Amino acid sequence: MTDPTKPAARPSDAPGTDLNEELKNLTRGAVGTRRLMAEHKQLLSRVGSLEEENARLRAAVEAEDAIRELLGKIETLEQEKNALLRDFRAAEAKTSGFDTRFAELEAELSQLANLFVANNCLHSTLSLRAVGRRVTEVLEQLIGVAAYVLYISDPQTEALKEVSKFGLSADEDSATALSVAEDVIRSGKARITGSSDTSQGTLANPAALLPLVVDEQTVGLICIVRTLDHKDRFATVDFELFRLLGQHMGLALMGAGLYSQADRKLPAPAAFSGMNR
Amino acid sequence: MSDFSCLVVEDSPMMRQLVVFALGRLKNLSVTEADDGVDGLRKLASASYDIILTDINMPIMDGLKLIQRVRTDPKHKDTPIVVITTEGGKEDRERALRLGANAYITKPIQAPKVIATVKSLINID
Repeated sequence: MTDPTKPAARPSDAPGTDLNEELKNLTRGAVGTRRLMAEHKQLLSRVGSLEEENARLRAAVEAEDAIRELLGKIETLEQEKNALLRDFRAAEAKTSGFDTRFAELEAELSQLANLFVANNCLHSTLSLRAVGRRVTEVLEQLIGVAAYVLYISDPQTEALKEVSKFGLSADEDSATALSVAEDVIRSGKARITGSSDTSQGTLANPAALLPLVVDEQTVGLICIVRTLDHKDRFATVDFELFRLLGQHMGLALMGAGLYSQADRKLPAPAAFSGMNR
Repeated sequence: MSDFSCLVVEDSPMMRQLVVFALGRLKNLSVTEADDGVDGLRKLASASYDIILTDINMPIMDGLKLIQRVRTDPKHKDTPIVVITTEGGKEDRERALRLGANAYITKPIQAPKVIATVKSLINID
C-alpha cells in the first residue's frame, strides 16, 4: 500500500533515471557547445583571413592608384622637361646667334680701327718722307705686304715713275709692273688677285695694283708685289684699306708735295678768304 | 684705377695706336707705351707691369734682347710676354718662345686675337 503522507513519486524523480537523463542532456549540451566553440573559432579564423585578404586587396588597389599617380606625375615631368629642353635649345640658339653677331661686330670694329689709324697716319703729316714711311707702315703692318713699289705720275710727261720700293730682290725690275698695269692706270680701278696665293706674287703677276686717284685722275700706283709668307690671301679689311689708300694716299702725297714746293710754308689766312662763298 | 697694367713696346706709332686701341677694350687694363727695347727697359725699371707686348724688329734694342733682359731680371722674370711681329717663320717663333715669350702673334694683327691672348695670360675680364 502507498503512503498517503508522501507525495506521489514522479517518473523523473525516480532515482537514477532522471540523473542519467540529465547527465545525458548536459553531455549533449557540452558536446554541442564544444562544437559551436570550434565552429566559432573556425569562423573567427576565417574572418581573420578574410580581413587580411581584404587588407591586402585594399593595399594592392591603393598601390595601383599610387603607381597611376606616379606615372601621371612622371608624364607631367617629362612634358615639363621637354618644354624646358625646347626653351633651352631656343635660348642656346639665340645665344649662339648673339655670340656670332658679337664676333662679327668685334671684327668690324677692329677693321674700322685699322681704317681710322691708317687714315689718321696718312693725313697727320705734310712731309713727303713721312708720308712715304707711313704708307710703308700701312702696307707692311696693317696689310702684311712683303714687297711693293710706289709710282707717282710725272706732271711733265704724265708717265708713272718709281719713287719708293720695299722688299724686292736685286734681280727684280720694278718697271715690269708698269707694263701689266696699263689698264689699271687708264681706268683708275684696282686689280686684286682673287684666288691665287698672294705671298707668291711677282712684278709680272702682282698680288694687287692700286691706282692713286685725285679728282678722277690717276696720279700714282701702288704695286703690291707679294704678301708675307704667313699671309696667303687678302682679308676683308684689306679691300677697305686698298680703297682708303687709293682715295687718300694720292691726296696725302699731293698735299705733302705742294707743301714741299712752297718751302714748307703754311698758306696765309688770305688763302682761305673765299671759303664761305 | 685699373687693376692690371700693360707695357706695349713698338717702334711704329701706327701699330702702337692699334694695339692700344685693341687693349682699350679691356676695362681694367692701363697701357703704357714704349718706342723701342731701351725705352721699354727704362719703363720697366720704374714700374711693374702685369703683361708686356713687344715687337721684334725695332731700332736700338730689338724685342728678342728685351725678352732676354726681362727674363734675367728677378723683378720681371715671371711677367708674361706677348710678341707681335711680322716675322711669321717657325724658327722666329721658336726662338722667341725659347727666350721666354709666352705667346706669339703675327702681323697684321686682329684686335680680337690680341684681346684673347692677353686674357689667356692674365686673369682679366
